[in-house]
Amino acid sequence: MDDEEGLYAKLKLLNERLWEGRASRPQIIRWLDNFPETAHTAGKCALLYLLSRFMYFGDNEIRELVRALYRDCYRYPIMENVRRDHQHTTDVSFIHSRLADELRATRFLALGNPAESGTYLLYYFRQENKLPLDLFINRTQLFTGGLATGDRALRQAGVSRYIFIDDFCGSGNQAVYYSRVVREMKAIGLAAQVPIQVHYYVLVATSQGLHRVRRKTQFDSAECVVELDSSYKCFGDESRYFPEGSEPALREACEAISRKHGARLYPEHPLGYRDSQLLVGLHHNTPNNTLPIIWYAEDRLPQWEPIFRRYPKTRTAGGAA
Amino acid sequence: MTQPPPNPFNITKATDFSDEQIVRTWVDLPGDGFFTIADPTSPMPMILSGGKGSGRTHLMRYFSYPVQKLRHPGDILASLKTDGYVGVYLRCTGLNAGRFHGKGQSSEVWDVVFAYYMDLWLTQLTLQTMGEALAGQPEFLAQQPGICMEILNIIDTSGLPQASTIESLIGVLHQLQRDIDVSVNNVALDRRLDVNIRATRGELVFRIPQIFTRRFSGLDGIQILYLVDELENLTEAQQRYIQTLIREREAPTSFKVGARRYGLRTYKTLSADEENREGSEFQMVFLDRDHIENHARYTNFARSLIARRIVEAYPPIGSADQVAEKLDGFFEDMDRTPYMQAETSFLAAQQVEERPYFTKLKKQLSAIHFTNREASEIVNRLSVPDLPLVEKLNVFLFYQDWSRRQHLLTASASIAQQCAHYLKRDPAATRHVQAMAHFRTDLFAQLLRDSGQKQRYLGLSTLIDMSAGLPRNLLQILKYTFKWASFNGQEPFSVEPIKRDAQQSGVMEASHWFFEDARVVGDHGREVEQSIERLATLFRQLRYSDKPVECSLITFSADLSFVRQEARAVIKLAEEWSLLISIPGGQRDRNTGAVDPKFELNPMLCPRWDLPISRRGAISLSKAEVNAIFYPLREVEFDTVIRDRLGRMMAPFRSSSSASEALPGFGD
Repeated sequence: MDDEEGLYAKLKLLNERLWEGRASRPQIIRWLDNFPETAHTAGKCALLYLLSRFMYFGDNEIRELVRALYRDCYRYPIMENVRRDHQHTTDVSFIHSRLADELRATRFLALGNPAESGTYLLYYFRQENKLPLDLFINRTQLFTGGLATGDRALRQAGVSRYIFIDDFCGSGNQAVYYSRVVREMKAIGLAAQVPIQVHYYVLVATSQGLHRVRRKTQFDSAECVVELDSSYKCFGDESRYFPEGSEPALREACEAISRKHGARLYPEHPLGYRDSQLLVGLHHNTPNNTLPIIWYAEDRLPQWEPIFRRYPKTRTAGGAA
Repeated sequence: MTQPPPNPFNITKATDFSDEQIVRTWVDLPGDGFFTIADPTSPMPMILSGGKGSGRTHLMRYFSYPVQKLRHPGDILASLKTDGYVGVYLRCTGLNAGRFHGKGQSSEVWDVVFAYYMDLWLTQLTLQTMGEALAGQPEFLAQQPGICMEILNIIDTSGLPQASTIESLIGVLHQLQRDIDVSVNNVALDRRLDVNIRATRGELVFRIPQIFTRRFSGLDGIQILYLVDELENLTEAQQRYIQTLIREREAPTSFKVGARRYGLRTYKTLSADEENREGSEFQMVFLDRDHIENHARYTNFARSLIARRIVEAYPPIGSADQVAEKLDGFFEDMDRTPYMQAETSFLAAQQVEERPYFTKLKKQLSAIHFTNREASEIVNRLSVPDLPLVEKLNVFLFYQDWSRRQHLLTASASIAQQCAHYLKRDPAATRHVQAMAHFRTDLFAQLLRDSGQKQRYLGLSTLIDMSAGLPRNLLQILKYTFKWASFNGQEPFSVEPIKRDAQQSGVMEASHWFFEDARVVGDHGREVEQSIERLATLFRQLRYSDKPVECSLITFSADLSFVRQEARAVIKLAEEWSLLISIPGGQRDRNTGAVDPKFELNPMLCPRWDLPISRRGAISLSKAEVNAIFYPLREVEFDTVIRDRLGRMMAPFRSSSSASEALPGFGD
């Protein structure tokens, strides 16, 4: 491992090139000041090392990811199908016209509340892929009629494909929560003899979360652009951050510090939600699957200076999370 | 998210600048300016050479027509008359010259095709320039059809469309060039090079300016200056074409050719292999050498360059002159008072006997069987607790006496006595005065090293000196320094000066960058790199030895006539790639009286090995030493060189021929 100076050189480079200037040395020092362990060089270097492994998706990367999402999860598969269904045609104008047909029969919507990050993502998704505004709806535009009145139907006439878009899938909880909506959409389609496809596309997902969504929901597909396998679990057996042959003391120090302070900050999940142990952040927020020592910034005690702040979801007007 | 402040030094290559930026960032040399070095009105062709980043491209683009136009808004023709030239700029990079080679064609064929291709290219650039410069001139409009007809008379026009305007003529020539492109690009497939050469080599290049001048009186007194940049991108055979143009130059045309030092492959021409000679066919200017030889002028130029960049990035800061005035204040400097007390204060808290150089000295004395009491007595005599630098000087003088086999207890007493005189500024203390004058920076460097501190490369002057006449090096140092300062939470060029840690880190990063950037391309790259590492290691070992004999050592001289040819080749390459800088005048050998070549390690590399930036002393390397350092794969011999050299400079000071330890002053 690099010495303190070498680690700062790496962090400087990351800050310049990827982190959008969010972690300058004074900010890092303020973050380090959370930890009494930094009184010793070894503790300080362990934390700097951990920080140097942090994977951040900035504004540019997010824009690139939404382009890749549309291209790889939506556009190419449809083009492949069109070609396969038409003797592998290479007639570009024909393929494009069928793609346009498919687009007209598609609606994109964010997974989650309109005030959540999925909606922000849709804005980028539409801009970067130059898609028309009327292909985007929100959740309230899904249904018409009421369950009680028995006239529940899908509001969008002629639409047979719905794409739910999300930025991050850690445990898969949110997508699983939406399963009820998906089930209802499909049931309505089935009753009306109009097959409805519902897909879940996400920019960054853990393998575990994605697997759970596939297993526990009726989405026709659940795809992502960046998949984080078990090697991204910071202190897991297959951790890429502490591969075989790396200094055991470093791993032990990193884990001990993360666990000790994580237990104070987020007692139920000291190493991130459902023990995800990630080191991942996005331009607009940091998932709670990431180590809490990185992002904790609640108004309540304990006081903590985050390095990549998380903006928590406040679920009621009273402020209870 | 924090938006970082704009880094004024982000762009370090003139090729990345727009024409407007070339004008805005232009800084002339103090005094008579660049025009005296590279007069664009001189009919004598010139090769502008130097290391990477010597400012060649900026200068040549400044001479080019698009920039002339920006410099002189209004009546451009009148301005060209005042300038006395019009610049036609061509970069050899965009040519993809590697295409004109091999693929089943003989070199003679490629020579002809390449020359024709270049003729067409230069011609189009000339016509574009002329067409634009003269547009709207009634006389030119009247002459245009005649000019086109005369030009078409130079070439075989069979099958070509008519052209009566400059624009349509450019279209015709462009199509001819495109046809060659297609043929050359496909020759690898069908082995057929279908090119019809329609003009004699050089005719278009020289005749067209003559036609314009003859037919349009407004061009009287205006030289057509071809600015051919980045010659290093052409092969030797292709460079011969350029050399031929230089040799066959005809008024009103002249050339300025830009090439990196290592990129000048030949002076031969296509005219019966005749070779162009400096002073006869062309004038040679090495921009970086010129800067190095005019240190004060370069320093002032560098300061103006920095000020200009800062003003460009932060306009409210004031004028370039105002910024230049306060430039030093933007960079924290170190205490440069005679005893550097502020810089050495980290030792003040340490007990004298625990100071690292005394701990080491006591160990060395113990190894030659001095008692603890004797060693402590010596340390006590040499110590000057409040002035660690003077203390270090005493230790150095003590080592000198030790190497001269003097009685050590007596020597320490004598040094203590002389030191007392020295501190009272008694002129009799000449030994101390002279040694401090010579070795002050080395002793300070040793103090830092002894204490595990980083070497200090601080202050604007140091940064400028480190750049060794290459403005791009300076910009790189400043670019990295600025980035470090921003990362460290500073706002450079605002209230407080850039702190030392940012300067230190910036300098170190720039040094690493230079070592990578100046890496010799080709088979010998690794050999040159290893040799430079060996040379720098030798300098470092000598600098941090107990008794360095040369101060600020980054220079060597050697008689290269009898060293191995391979070693000579490595030195030549290292010089061409600016890793070594040749010192004009060389060094007179003390024994033979002959003048040996002398080379300085590029100061950009020095921080990598904790070496000084400014050179003073030089060592003379023997034939064996040169071979051991510069002849590839000589690790074993090099170790011997180091051992021999160091043995004479490290206590107990063995002579090179004897491995036995000397025990001076013991047991009297």
